[in-house]
Amino acid sequence: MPSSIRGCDMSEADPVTRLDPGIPGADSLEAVALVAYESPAREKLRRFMRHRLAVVGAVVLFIVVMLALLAPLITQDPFRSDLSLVRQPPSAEHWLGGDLAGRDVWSRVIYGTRTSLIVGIAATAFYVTVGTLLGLVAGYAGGVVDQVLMRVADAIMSIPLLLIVVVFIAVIGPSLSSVIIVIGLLGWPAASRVVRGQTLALRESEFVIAARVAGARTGTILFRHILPNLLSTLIVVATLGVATSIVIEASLSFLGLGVRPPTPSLGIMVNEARSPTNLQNLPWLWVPPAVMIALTVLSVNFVGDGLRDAFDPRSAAAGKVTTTGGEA
Amino acid sequence: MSNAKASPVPEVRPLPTATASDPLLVVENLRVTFEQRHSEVRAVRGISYHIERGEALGLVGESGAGKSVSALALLGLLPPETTRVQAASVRFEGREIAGAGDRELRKVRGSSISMIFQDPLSSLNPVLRIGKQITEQIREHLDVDRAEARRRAVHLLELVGIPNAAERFSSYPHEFSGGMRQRAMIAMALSCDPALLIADEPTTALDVTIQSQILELIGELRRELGMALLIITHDLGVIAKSTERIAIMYAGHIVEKGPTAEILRSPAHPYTRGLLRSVPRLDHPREGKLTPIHGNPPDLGMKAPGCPFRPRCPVAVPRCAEDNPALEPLCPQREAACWMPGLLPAAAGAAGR
Repeated sequence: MPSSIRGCDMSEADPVTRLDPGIPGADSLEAVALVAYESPAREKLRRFMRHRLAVVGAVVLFIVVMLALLAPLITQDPFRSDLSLVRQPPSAEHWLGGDLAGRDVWSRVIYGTRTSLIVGIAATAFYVTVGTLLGLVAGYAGGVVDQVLMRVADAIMSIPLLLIVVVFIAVIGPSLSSVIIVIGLLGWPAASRVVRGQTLALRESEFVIAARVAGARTGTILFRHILPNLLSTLIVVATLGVATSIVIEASLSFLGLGVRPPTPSLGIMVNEARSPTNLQNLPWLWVPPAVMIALTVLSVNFVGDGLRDAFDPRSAAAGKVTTTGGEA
Repeated sequence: MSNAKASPVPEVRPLPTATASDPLLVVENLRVTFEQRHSEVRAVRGISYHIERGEALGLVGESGAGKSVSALALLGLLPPETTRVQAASVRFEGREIAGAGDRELRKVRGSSISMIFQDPLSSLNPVLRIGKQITEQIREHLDVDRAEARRRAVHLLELVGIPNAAERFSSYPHEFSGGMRQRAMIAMALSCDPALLIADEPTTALDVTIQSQILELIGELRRELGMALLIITHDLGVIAKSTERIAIMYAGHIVEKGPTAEILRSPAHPYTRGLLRSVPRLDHPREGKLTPIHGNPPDLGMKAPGCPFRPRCPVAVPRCAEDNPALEPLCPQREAACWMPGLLPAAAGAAGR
């Protein structure tokens, strides 16, 4: 960008002064106004930083993500069984001890976190995309299209999420990808409602009318004019959606309907340790994955809250509005 | 404009198929009705006007007279679910565009007919850079590449008097002042070299000092680019400064039409006279108090016969309650819809020259 600015027509600066002598004075006024303005991005960052929990959440989330990304470097093979490690308590070599099959718990927690994040991000990306497209169409087209899409959304949202997921998984079989698909297919109504609502408002905004006056196509209006205005909302919806998706994945895996063993999953790890004696005697089996789930979900949620406050100052006092039945 | 794409030099508008003596825009008997659940609002009730090439026509009237609605209706921009637009004929550059589909109108919008609005801040997309919004419009209508579109956009920003145009290209609307935003809107409107610019209250949201700058800019660009102007306003000062002819609208009708200077000097319709008396003049010695027009504009849902201005009219006669007067020629170039049109003798002489 800067290069093109420099490259551009200083030579053509003349016509301005020639055409409108009234302006050079306005120039300095403009400069003053500019200094007083804070760029929107910086203002948002400042508001985010003011949200202390969100900052803590961001730090924790960063660490969690780095651990997951660097998993191969900081862990051992999460699949390898070592009979001498079975039920062993934490030690210098195996920080979190060994599980019932003699696998390194630390490695499995980190790889489990990886699974959680993959599911969380992939499923959310999937459903936010679908929800956004359907919401845009419903909001902009209105009429019958809107009615049909929103009634379908209502129908999906009226059934307890976990219940319908269980049925779905039973039909298509449990696996990592089916968890992603199921969350993706069932999560869109929440996103599409938010998008639809804002599209309805933006559709009547003057700049959209101005764009239509300028002869813009429907596609241009939807994706160039309306979508960028939804971005801040979508970021918040998506962030909070990641937390929900992670919880759903853990719940499904715990129930044996999610990721299949031996793929490491935090939910499965908690499940494996669920007998009363293990819960009491081998806490390193279930405390680390449980803590990891809590840490990840909490930090994502805090970051989401912080983003929401940053993007919409009015929501700061409004409390949680967007959280989507995450207690599944 | 459909053959513009095929033309090797897109900047040059192909010669219109109609003869050059044809007016640029002819609107005949345009009606707009908003349909509500149990009622309908007849916002525009059969108006006719024309605009010559390069001419400036002012559409004047108070809020709700149907000025903006009639302009939006021309461009097919009213929501089709709730609006009924009828017209005997709308010819632009000799082509009939009444009842044209959205695809066809889209080619006209923004390229041959552009529009600027009252509030430039809300008419600009807050999250898109100014330059982007201009290049987008250019590329929507002209077959040019990114660099060329950018070059044109920067040039347009310079043309409308935005300093450091090349840098301001990447500013966001909120970084501009009100006047600068309106300039940017104008730049955008000019991007495809329109034959007609519709300006809907272009200065209402601006400071008085900026107002005259913007009006001057519009006038200057109009002369320079040979563009026609349809300016919609309630501000007679704006009209006096920037138009050659005006049409006064009241309750969805055009009640008076003619050359600006003559109408301002010797208004024929009592409503026009009322409008003029309610505006302070600086160029005349004060002649007593300002006189407001008493009463309110009529409910546009009403279907009562007679002249819609009758309840507020100081010179109403019994006939006004029965028949709504049509727009009749008064003297050359002037028309008024009134049973009792009053021209001051001197002015009548001047008009009948």
